[in-house]
Amino acid sequence: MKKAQATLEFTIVFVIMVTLLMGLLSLWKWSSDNIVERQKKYNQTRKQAGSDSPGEPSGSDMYSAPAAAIIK
Amino acid sequence: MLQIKKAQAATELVVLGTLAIVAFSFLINYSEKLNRQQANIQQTFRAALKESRGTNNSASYTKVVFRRMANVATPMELGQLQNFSSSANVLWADGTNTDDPTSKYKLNDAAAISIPYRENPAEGTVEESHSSFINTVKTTTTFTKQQSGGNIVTTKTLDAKDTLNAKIDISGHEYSFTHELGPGGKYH
Repeated sequence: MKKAQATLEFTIVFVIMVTLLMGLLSLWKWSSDNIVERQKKYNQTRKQAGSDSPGEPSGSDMYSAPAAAIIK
Repeated sequence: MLQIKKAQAATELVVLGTLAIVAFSFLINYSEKLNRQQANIQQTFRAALKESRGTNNSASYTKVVFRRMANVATPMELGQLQNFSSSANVLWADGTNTDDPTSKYKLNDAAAISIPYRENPAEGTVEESHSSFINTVKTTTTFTKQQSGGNIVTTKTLDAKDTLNAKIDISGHEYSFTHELGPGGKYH
């Protein structure tokens, strides 16, 4: 008889699953932050498009948010 | 039941966890690709807007960008090659003192090519454009293992070179580009 086997296994699996989910959520947030920051920079290029300065409007390249951290 | 199946939850986690990681990695990779594609479309539109403002006439702009993505599964190999292309046509003019309409093509970070403007082409004129992009990849992977006493030190290094040769034919004019893979997966 192995008493409380399910409880023990659940405890181990629960900790692993929560860590996994937090990691995934953190990556998801990082990706979402990138879109927001990129859009802000893109909006700033509207002014450049209407100016006489030479060259292509710049500064709206892919933005990289700081590396994802599971616990902040 | 519980006595017979040992570590059932752990075994199920291995299966479910693997599937979850694969599914999420696909989603993240796909969303990153869409994100870059959208950024490219937005930049092309801004570039066309500025060209149109400069000439006080219509402008078209085409932008083609090649990128190497990060290789998460096997970091010691080059990642997947992706290319994004978009075109924008903009008319931003007040109808006075207009210059000829402009049309430009840009590959990666190279200076944009001005496509010659042809006024009133003959009826039925068909123009064809051909582009070829060839990537030549050279990789050298070195794996060293040093053993002294009870210590083992292993080192793995990757030396990779990726050259993009592009030949673009626009309205009978041929343009050639040679770009090298640089930091951030960009071609310069």
